Amino acid sequence: MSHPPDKKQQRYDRQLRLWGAHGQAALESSHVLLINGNATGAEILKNLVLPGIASFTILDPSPVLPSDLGSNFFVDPEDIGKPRAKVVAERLREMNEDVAGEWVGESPSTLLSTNPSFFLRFHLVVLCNHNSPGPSSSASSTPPVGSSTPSPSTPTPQSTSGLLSEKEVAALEDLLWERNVPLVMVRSYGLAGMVRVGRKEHRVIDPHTPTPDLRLQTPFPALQALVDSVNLDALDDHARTGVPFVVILCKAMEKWKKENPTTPPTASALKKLVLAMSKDLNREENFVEASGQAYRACGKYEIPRTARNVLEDPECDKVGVVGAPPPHPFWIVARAVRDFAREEGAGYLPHPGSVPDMKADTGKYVELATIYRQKHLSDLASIRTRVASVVSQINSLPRSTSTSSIDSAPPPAVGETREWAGSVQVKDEEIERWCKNASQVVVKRYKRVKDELGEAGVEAGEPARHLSQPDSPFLHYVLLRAVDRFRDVHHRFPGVLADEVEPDIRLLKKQVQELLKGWGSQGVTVPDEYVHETVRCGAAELHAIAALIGGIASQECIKLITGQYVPVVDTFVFDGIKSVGGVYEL
Amino acid sequence: METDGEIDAPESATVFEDIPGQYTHIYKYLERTGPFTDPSFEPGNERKEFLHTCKVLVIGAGGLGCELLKDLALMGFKDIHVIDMDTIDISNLNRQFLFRPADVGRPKATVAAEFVMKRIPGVKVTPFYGRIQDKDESYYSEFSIIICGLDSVEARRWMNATVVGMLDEEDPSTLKPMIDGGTEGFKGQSRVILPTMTACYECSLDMHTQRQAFPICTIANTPRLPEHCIEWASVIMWPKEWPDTKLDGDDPEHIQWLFNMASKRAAEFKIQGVTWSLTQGVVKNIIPAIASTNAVVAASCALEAFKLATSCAPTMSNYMMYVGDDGIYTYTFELQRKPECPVCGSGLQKVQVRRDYTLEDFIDTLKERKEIQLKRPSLMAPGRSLYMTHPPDLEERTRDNLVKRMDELVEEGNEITVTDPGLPITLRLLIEWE
Ligand SMILES: [Zn+2]
Repeated sequence: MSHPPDKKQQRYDRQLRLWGAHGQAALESSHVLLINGNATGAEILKNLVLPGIASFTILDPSPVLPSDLGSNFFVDPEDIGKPRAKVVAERLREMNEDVAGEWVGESPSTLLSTNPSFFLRFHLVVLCNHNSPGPSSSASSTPPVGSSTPSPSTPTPQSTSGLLSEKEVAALEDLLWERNVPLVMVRSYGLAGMVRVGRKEHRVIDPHTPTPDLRLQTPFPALQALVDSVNLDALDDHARTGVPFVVILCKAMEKWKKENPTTPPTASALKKLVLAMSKDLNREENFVEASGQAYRACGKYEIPRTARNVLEDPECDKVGVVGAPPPHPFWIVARAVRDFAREEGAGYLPHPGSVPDMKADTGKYVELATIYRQKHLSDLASIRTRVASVVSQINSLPRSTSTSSIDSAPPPAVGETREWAGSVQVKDEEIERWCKNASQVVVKRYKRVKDELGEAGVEAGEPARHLSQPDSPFLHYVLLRAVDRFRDVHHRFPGVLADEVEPDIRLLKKQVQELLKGWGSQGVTVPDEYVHETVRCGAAELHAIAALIGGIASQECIKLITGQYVPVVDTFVFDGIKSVGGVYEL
Repeated sequence: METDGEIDAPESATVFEDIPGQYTHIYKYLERTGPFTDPSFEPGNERKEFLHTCKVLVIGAGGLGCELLKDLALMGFKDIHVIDMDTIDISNLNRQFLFRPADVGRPKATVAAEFVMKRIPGVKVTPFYGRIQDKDESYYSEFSIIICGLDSVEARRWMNATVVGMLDEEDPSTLKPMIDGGTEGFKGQSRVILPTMTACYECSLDMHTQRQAFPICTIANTPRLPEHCIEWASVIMWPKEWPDTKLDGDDPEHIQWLFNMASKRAAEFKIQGVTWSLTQGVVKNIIPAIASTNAVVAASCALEAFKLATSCAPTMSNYMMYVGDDGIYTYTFELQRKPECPVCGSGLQKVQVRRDYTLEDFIDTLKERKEIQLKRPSLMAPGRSLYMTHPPDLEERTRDNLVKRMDELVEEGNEITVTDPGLPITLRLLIEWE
């Protein structure tokens, strides 16, 4: 902190200013699997290798084709015919010597049936379920397996397609779901692109959405003592300009209560009162600032909705229950915070300890900041005690026979630490982070791909609602789903052959209609020009779309790995024809 | 390309490809027409030839620039030029993926150009290691599209004014589309500027808020934040202690000195949180930057360049913002032209002035206005200079005017011409008494 940064800190300086040492440590202990090293997949990994994940593995049975040269930056002409997984992995590694990269040249589909445990070694799985519509090449003669061997005990027939069917995607998700490993599905198709995030439960302690916590409604004793120590009428003109707005607002509230014992003030009434308390608004900028903040002192304090949802989550109730699987540390702290808020916190969350800058003299501001910090530390001590007591209670329970609690595999990344063989532990650092951000915590739960692919799993009204918006990017969601069905039926993508455009438009339209019918989406259609445009692209993977959608997907991966910032729920669709995007939950 | 002379030559891709099949993906869009193509779109070799031979210019070879060079080259542009005045720093390596630790200290433009040419067959990238101001209209007019990946408002304004200024309404070939991208942390934006047809950069200058400077009295008298202590060290103490040495945010010894001074002051006032990293961040005004956001914004710019060059789909109209810290939020909308824009419009606007303001007060209000943002404005009234920041002898001769009242210097209805030595922009202000 007091010395110049070392080489590594210098290299990562611009990102450390966003996600800090905690986020960086999480990245540096994460192992990522990419299924298919096409242009989109390579771009995603590029943006994860650069900030420094621990390692990646590329699973891809395809050889490098000439068409890859015009879309994928991580191949060059001499690589044609070599395993794409190997070539892309090697070139990606050149960008950051701290990142390990491996490759496996097997078919994901085969591996899924012969060696499903392969998929359980990673903290995050990225699926780019699309391949170049190039000429089908004969199975490559190079050994299909790279530096890491996923126990290919029985040789399996190699497929160059690398694609997973809808059923196989659902099977992959099954594997990852119970272990809470995120599955990020990414497509670049013509001028359209799509990112879908899936995870059983994603917990964010630090979404980076801080709001000040000033306790103006009910000042705690130390704050009240500070307010009492200031006598505005006794201060000289200069000293009055140094009083922080927090004190002014507390004074105004006291004055209001004295004059109106039964009616609480409205924000505008309190604002007026504050302005009237000033001797000279041109000089006393702190009173002007206080009037602008008056709304913060009005109304009843409530825990923000997202944080309240976390505290009221059934997972909180399960903490410490006999027979329940060992809870994640997040929920142990959540339970402690909930109980704190209900008891000694008197409705408040633990204080974050920070205070915004305000017009004030140094002495009074520092005094105020110190009071808040001490409040934070005493709340933190309270939470620590509660966590310790919950933990010892859990550890004294008879060990549940079930180990199928969420997050049981793979080797935990930072923030996920616990020992399954032994006792439950909560790191002190996690308790501190929780208390600093208690009002911001978020838990996101995703829809299962399995449900989304099944007709019954989609809310009947949703597709129709989105499609009723003219030119909605959602059109491309429908079209991409129809393209996959087309592929399953016809064993090729629409429009890949030069003379098949018109017939393929009709065939794709049929798939679209069946999809809409299955959803029960009455009275909406996908306009013909969009169907035509989708066939026109002939499954092309344009680099600009791959880089754009890959960039967005990698950003989501970073959020999923670090547990900071908030990932999308569930699906982002980009329409590159009009350059507009949209987010959809089905 | 002389395919015209060939008889019955099929539209063979190999004509343009160094490796047969290289452009399989993009040719899908150039060999077929579609429902969203421009009416003028004719699929075939003419489109391909234009894409492959047109000259495009990338300004900046940093976070956006590296991505842009890769994206444009893979989208079929083969004659790419790049300008950058910087050399490679170790802190670039977390996102500027064309650079390696061994390249630190070398010019960005040169290293980036070499890398892209080595990787992608048939692409020519011509670097220029220098400032955008080193080049003039004759250089910029050679390009079909100009794409900016810059990190400063000043450089963008200069480029915008230059590109818009090149337009000759009689000659459509002088209309140069300019595509601009920018990022900060998880957020970014891209936009397409068609001079006089869409809003230009200057039209929407008020969208770009300047960093709020801390009031000097806070820094000097009532520090509360660690940043205030750091500003005190750099703004007040450094010039006092080292009057002959320019502060260099990249010199670790300079930062160490500031850090020590700021720490001492913070301890004196019981302020917590002064760190080495914060010191450097405040002094250099460091903006967080990551690979993924740069990738998104650059790709959007490259996509629009491809659409402009080929008409294979409509061009974005005309501004897209991307916010990635809380979910994924994008918003694409049409920025409107401003009739009084000093670059693409009349440049004439009315200003209300207090009669009793001094000229200096008036200049201060101009500097503060978000839609003007001039650093060192020079002012001329009809027939005479009010205050000129440059050259020095003229500055000296006009300096006395700064303390004069506005109503001594001008009359209501006068037109004041405002210029700034750093920008090719002229503002015309019509004076009205407040
Ligand atoms: Zn303009």
